[in-house]
Amino acid sequence: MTRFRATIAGLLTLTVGTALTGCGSSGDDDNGDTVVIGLVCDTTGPGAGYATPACTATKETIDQVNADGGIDGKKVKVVQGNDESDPTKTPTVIQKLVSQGADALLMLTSSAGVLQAKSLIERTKIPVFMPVAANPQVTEPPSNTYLYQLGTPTSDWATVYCAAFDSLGAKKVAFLQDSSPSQVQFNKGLIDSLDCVDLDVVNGAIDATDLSAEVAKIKNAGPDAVLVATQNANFDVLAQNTLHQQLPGVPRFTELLLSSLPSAWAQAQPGALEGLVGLAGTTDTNTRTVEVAQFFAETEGADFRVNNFWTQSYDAVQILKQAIEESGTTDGEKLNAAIQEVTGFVASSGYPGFTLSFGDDKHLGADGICGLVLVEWDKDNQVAGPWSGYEPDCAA
Amino acid sequence: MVGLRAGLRGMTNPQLWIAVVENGCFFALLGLAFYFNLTGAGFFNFGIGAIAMAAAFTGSWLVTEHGLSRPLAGVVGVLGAIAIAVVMELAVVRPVQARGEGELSALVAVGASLFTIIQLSGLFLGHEARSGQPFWSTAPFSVGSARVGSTVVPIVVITAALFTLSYLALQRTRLGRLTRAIGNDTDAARVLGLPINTARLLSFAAAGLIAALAGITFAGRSGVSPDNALHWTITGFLALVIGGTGTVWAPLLGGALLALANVFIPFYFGGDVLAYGLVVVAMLFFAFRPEGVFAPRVRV
Amino acid sequence: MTTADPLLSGSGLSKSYGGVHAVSDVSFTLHAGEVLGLIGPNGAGKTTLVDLVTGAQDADTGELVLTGSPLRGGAAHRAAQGLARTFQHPQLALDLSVADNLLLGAYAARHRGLGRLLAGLVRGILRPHAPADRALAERLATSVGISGLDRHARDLTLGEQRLVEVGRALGAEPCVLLLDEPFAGADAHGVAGTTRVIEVLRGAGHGVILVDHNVDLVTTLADRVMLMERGRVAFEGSPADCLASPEMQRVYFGTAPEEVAS
Repeated sequence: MTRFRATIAGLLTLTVGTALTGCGSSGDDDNGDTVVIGLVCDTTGPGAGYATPACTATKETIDQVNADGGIDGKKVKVVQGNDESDPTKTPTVIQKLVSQGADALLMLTSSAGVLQAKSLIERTKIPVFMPVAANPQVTEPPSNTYLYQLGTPTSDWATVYCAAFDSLGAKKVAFLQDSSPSQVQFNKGLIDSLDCVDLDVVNGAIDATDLSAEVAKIKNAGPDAVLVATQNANFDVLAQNTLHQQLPGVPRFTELLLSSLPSAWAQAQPGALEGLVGLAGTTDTNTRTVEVAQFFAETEGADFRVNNFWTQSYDAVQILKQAIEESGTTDGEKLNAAIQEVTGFVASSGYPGFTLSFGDDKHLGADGICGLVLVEWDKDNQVAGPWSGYEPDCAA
Repeated sequence: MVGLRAGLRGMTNPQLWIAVVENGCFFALLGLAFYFNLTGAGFFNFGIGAIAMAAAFTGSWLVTEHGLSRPLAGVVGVLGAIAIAVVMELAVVRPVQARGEGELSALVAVGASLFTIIQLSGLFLGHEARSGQPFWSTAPFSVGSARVGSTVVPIVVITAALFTLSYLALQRTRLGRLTRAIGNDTDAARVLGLPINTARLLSFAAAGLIAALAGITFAGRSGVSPDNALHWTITGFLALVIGGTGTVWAPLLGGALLALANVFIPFYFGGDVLAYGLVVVAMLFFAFRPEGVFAPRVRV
Repeated sequence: MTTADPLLSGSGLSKSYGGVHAVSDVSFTLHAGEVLGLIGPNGAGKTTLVDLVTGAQDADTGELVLTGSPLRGGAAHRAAQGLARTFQHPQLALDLSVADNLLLGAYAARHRGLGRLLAGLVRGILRPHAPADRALAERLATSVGISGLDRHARDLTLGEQRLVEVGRALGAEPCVLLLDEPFAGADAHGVAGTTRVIEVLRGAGHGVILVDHNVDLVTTLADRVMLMERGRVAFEGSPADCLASPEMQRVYFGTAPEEVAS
């Protein structure tokens, strides 16, 4: 029995310790010849679905940078923390990484946490990237001097959705969202921008075991289309299963998460995703995407499928590298200024020709809406490719 | 009049009633697992949800990552769940209770076990949700305007079977009588020389078995992840609280009432108030009927 | 009726709770076919002594010997060795029927390995009572004089509950039966039933320790009586001698007999 008690106590220590301290650091000790990048990865909380691949992509990219000689001859060291997308924990994790000498931060966690920590980030005076986030409030003033995003903002999402609805002739759209505070806050901007249709917002509990009631309400309203707006794969899959069952024939849309999670497609009932249209960040028609995919496939294996979590994380590291090399320093303010000089960076996401640019008053990197690709699922619950219903004019 | 029509629209929607049945069966099974622990060991096992999750999650991992067949993966999941339940009794509950530290210490220890199971599942099997891999699913079919999904018939049949077997086992077998006697008054049972440890162990194993079958079957709806564990534990506990402990059928009623709330509160008031609605339902029972609908009768 | 070696003996038994000596250096013997009566006022330590013998509580000091072997282990172990008891306040499984409660003692006494219990599951589902079980329950019920085997224990009167407890203890086929206040709240029928059981056990060469506040009944049924006071044995001897003893006068009346006479 004593052995059992010791075993249980030991396991508890292991798991609690892991949640608090993350995976530690890699690379050489900081001796002035290193660039320290702080990584906030929510690998155990609600953002694990996207943060896990994004963090892996970031670390593999940094390993490649080090293999190629580092940045200006300096090795890159990673220090990591996990705030579990909990806004109460984000400031503490940031402070910890800064105390460990981080020259820049890559935040792979929810926007809600970063929004809480904006004033702290402003005081630290070190650049912070959110490679995969898309909440435009993060990079809006005040306290946005050092904050940058690569993802296309939700206001551009609305542009794409509106064009898609228009192509279908949909005037009345049901907006089914999970009612978690972070999601409601995230969707607020999107809802405000979707003024092109008559939007009927229906909330469902994020941990609901059943959405029949919510879908029954939607069905009663007789929408022309349904948009499922969530960053929670379980909720999305449950919604798609229920909508497929109870509202067959009504066009369905989803946000950016589901297209990047093949594991979630397998969760859905057979055929439940057929005809679903969702936002994605990548397409095989972009040669840069294909190159980055091949790079990651060397480590991840032949079955690897690239998505925007990987490509945007890759691009974030490359942009940071470029800025450090051009500024010749890791001093926060000078590095920040160098980031704001980055223009026309050829992105490995989006349609061919999609670029990223930053400036004093441009902290959202996307140049236009061509970072977003509408994709469609087939009867086997697999992404079949770009949706033929609408494609933005990226040559313009 | 418009309000009445809207109200009736919900109550006469067969799709919603199918959801009530499916969810009610799942909640009832979790409550039944709690009931077995309470009857045989006098203990609220707050690890039930984690055990159900672990069985479903492990089974899914075996199918999707290692290509095992669903039945075989399910058997492994069930056996693993029984093993977790037995270890919980032997390594956590019994030693803490034997030290005479009171019920609260044992409850806290099991609560820690719940979180340990969640963390270990995430650590070894990943934190991302996995698709459910039930033993048995049927082709979806229509009943009038309602659609019956692939997991409805299996969970209804499994619920009916498990409740019936539980009733027969507890009421008509020597082991069942011993278990009920031990749960009734453990101190007297100990002095009488009844096999308390054996009965406790078997009640934990039975609870693990029921929780595993519930989790594996229900996960076929929309998958399973470690995040489900706590929610499923609370759900099973509420089903027992509402139904009561007076009879083995009580969790079935409790599950049904909980499912009614789970479906119709979102329909009439919105999904974002579901949590508040369930809290109100639970508080009403705690305040006015803490013994649940079916209370054990005691001669005064 | 009695043999030279005692069936059950206790020597130097003590139990304290903080500064309270519930049982203090108590020794006794019980022979086969003998009824040992245990009387004394409330708080004398009678029930505590029964608990020490049956293993419900651990003695601080002292030794117990049953059929020549030291009696150790917890209550379950001692029950398996041949001790059975009833409780000062009846402790039945209220959710179970009279028959099921009566059978619990027999279940406790028999070998009850995991395999047997599990094998019994399927049999039990198909047949609620094995014929042998039902017959045993009926015999035990007849022995103590209780009817209505399918009634729920929660529906019984206090006296009926005491009878079921006696029947349950009998089902364990004990070497020694310890009865703790079996006549409290019992009607004439209940008293008759319990008395019958005591006589049967005595006649079969078993031992009985009878604890009760009904001094008349105890002194009528017992072969020897032990008078306890504040945890100690104040007197031990025949019932007649006990009733006539100055200790009896002092313990129950607080005075010496000559003081009462005057």
